[in-house]
Amino acid sequence: MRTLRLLSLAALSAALVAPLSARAEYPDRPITVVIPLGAGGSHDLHARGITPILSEILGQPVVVSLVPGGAGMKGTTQVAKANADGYTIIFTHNAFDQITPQTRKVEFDPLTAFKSVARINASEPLLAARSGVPYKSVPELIDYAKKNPGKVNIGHTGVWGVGFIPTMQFIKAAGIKVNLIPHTGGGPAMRAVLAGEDDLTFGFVTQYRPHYKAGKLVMLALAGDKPLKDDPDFNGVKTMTQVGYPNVDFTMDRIFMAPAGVPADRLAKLRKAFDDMNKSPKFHAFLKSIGEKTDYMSGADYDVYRTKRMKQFADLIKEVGSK
Amino acid sequence: MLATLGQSIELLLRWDIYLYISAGLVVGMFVGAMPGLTTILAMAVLLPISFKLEPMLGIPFLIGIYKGGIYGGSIPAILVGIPGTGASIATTIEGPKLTRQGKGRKALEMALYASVIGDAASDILTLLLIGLIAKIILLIGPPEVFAIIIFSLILIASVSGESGIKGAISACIGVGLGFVGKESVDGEARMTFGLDALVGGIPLIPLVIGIFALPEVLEAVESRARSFIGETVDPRKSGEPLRWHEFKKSIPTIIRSTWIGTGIGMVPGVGQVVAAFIGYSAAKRASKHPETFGKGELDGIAGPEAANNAVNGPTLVPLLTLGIPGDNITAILLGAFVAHGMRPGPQIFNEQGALVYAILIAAVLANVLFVALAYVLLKPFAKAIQLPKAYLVPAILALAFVGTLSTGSASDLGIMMVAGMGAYVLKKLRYDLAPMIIGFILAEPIELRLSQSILYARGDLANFFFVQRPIASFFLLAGIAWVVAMIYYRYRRVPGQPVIR
Amino acid sequence: MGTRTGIPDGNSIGNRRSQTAAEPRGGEAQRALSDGTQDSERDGARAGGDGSDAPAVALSAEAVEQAVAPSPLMAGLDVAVAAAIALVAATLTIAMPQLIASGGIDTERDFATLSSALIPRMAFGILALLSVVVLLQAVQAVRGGISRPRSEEGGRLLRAGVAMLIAVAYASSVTWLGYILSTMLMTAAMAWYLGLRNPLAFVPGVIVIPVTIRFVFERLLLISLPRSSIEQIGVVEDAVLRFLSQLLFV
Repeated sequence: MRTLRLLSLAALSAALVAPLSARAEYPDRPITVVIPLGAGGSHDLHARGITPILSEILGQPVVVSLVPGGAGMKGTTQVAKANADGYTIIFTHNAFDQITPQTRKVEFDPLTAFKSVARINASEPLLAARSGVPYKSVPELIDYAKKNPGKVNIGHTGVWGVGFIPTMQFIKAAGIKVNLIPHTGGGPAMRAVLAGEDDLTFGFVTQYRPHYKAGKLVMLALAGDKPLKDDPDFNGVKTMTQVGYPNVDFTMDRIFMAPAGVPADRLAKLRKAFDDMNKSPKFHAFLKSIGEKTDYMSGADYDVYRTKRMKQFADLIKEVGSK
Repeated sequence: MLATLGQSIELLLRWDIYLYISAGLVVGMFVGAMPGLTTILAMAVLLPISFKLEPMLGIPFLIGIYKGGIYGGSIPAILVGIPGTGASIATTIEGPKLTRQGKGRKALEMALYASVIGDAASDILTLLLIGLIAKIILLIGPPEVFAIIIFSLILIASVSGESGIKGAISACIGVGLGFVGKESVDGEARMTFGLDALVGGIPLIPLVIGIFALPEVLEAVESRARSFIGETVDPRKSGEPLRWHEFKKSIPTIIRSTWIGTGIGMVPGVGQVVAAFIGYSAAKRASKHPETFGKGELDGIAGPEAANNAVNGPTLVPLLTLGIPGDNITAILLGAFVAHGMRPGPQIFNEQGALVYAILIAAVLANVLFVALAYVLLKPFAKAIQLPKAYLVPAILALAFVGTLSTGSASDLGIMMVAGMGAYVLKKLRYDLAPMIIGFILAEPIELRLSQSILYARGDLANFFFVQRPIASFFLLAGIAWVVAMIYYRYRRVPGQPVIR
Repeated sequence: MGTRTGIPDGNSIGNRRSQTAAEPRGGEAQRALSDGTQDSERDGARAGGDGSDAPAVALSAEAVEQAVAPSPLMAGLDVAVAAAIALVAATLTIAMPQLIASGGIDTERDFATLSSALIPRMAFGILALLSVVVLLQAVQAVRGGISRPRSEEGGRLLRAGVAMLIAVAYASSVTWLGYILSTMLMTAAMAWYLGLRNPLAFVPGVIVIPVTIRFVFERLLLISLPRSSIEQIGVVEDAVLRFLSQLLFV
């Protein structure tokens, strides 16, 4: 027993000496990526594949920390207030970054609290309808909705969520009155459409594909102005711009952000690491394997884009939000 | 179909599948046994490993973690009254009492056999009836879920005998806590008192750890007893395995719970926790000696454990047939499927039928493997509980803290402590804690489903329910009938004499 | 037959709500019987009821009496808690609309839906009413004559109190001392308090357990546990973890 204690003491002392010898450069210890969502979501999935690649590039382990709760604000606030030393960053999406903090009181300034590190991809939501609806295109839908106010059931995945925003953009742009049905996620929303309870919903390609191919869904339009030219199934879907509603342009961006106070050199190093990752075939192969595309935007570019979007969403929130 | 099955069986004739399943089961069991560590977390962390394996190895590996986890949660639930996973909350009713009587190992084994049988049976049912189940799932919408939840609550309430008003108070507190946070229809935040941490609602894990772990720790310190096992228990008899005649008595319960769990598995949003309570309540109601429930009754272990595992089979159905994950765990499985190039959804049986069936059969076989593995792994746990409390209590507290910390931030610790101390006080005053958890979990679904139903009905509820949604009406009427029957039955007794229940 | 606080008489409230039916139980006196440990008085009601270890245990006279009426301390506490719950519930019922922050959306509809205050109000309203009932019963019990105070009880509550203090201290120190150090202190305190005095059994546990836990969780399961905010301690922690990592090739 005594020997054991001596040994433990020796081990501890040896360990104590170690850090004194090296004053390493950034990063010299693991970096934590906070994900403000629960386990098992698509962000988690992305992270599990991205972090090993990043760890290799940066030379330090990149560790995921899941901090769900508070509609994404718990994790976001945590990172906003964290030590701006470059060892804590957040992997989130633009709804949590640019919309939710503008809908209520948060403990940080949504615009200035973060600097972008990179955008991994951007997905455009599609407006899908169940197969039995009496309209085949967006103009027909709007016509029907105007003649039957409050009758069309549109399901969304949660107020201020990624399915909700395009829904609101659409409703406001088209000036129609619908019956908004809340769901607790993409799965239940999908189920409701398949069961015939909901008529329409905004969602994403990967989720829709098998049902579209089985004939259960009709695609009405794609948000934004870039048609899905390379997609085997959805290359014919009209964009919202094409049908006359260019304001329905929400995309879900997956972004890595760092607290605003991070020293410029460390931020640059992070950004460069991501740029390097974007050049890595392993990265693209991974995203492809989980059925996602890449739509990379560098941190500096995204900062500019983000500011613009913040303002746009602020207007939408003012229009739609409760007074 | 037979040809596909034949192909599936061929796919299964490799020993490494079973190696990986076993690895998953063991990992899952240990993770499940740590309060606060969720199986989801384990699956998420091990997902990359699963990616590197081929689908026939990687997916059963994850399924193994999942199944191991559900059982693993029962271990601390039985031994120290702390549920390792939400599904084992109902097991804390009988478990610790049995442990104190020196029957801890028996309880662990009963839980094992009940879990495995329930799980395997429900998987087989799913395999055979997958088409039917898929159709049923589409029929179960918000009004049905609402009705089924109400009906389940009535069932659970009808057997919670001794709690009476205090149980109801506990339930109301739970429901009240459940309403903290963002409301689903219009997105307004309720009762958050300006705390950001509460906007998403009170997080479940710190709450459960607080409510169960802290009072247990405090009570363990309270008593002067040196270990968790009662001093008057013959040390030679404690640690005895389960005997056949003891097990045999619970076979009807296990069968009943399997049906219950399978049914609940088809209803989105209800889940293992509630299924376990319904299983327990049903076992108590059907028992010839309900008064032994609550004092250490093995049947009260079999009931919840079979039910909570039986939920698993049908939960896979929306995932496989529609590509819709029903909960977080199936969401991870979906990710795994996608990463392996499989696209769950309407076509998967046409395109990759053999593989899918093989995976489902592997899930059934996992149970067989699990019995053997867990039986061996149980013994150290059962023995460990005999250690003096001075060793165990700090370890339990340390792990409980880890469990809470692993989910995020320091504010969770605060929630855990507050919940824990409140729960301790309530427990001392004889408030039953189980209704609180049930109330907490079901608060949001009840309100959400009712709101959704109103939206679909466009305000005209009566017409909607009774004309358009017959299944929902059935359950509502059944619930009302049950309440009426109970009241009538109780008033029938001769006044002044206690009711034999 | 003695009635205990909190037990409703037959015709109560069960039909008003779907949560729990009120049921008097025959055999109430069986509750709170000795559960086979040295603590012949088990105050705590576990979920589902108190344990009665039927064959293996003797019924002490004390235990039987306990089943009949609680001690003054407990009864007083019962009253206090019931009153507190009633008060909070009533306040919440009335004030619910104020507690709803905005941040949501306005939708115009032709029909009424549930206001976000409605169901919570109902829940708290029912809670308030029920707790008033319990309050009255508790007050009645206090008045209605109580047995002598149980001897063990003070000691038990005191011990529980110490444990609570340790736990609270532990909780407050985890972030600034870091998980490893605070767990070490807690383990030492708790084990010592529970009677473990032999330092040889003690020390390895105190050191090894927290370090192992932190290591396993952080490096193997990739879950981060708090690092001390006191830099010197944090540096030591990092060093130890790094050392172990290298040692075990993780």
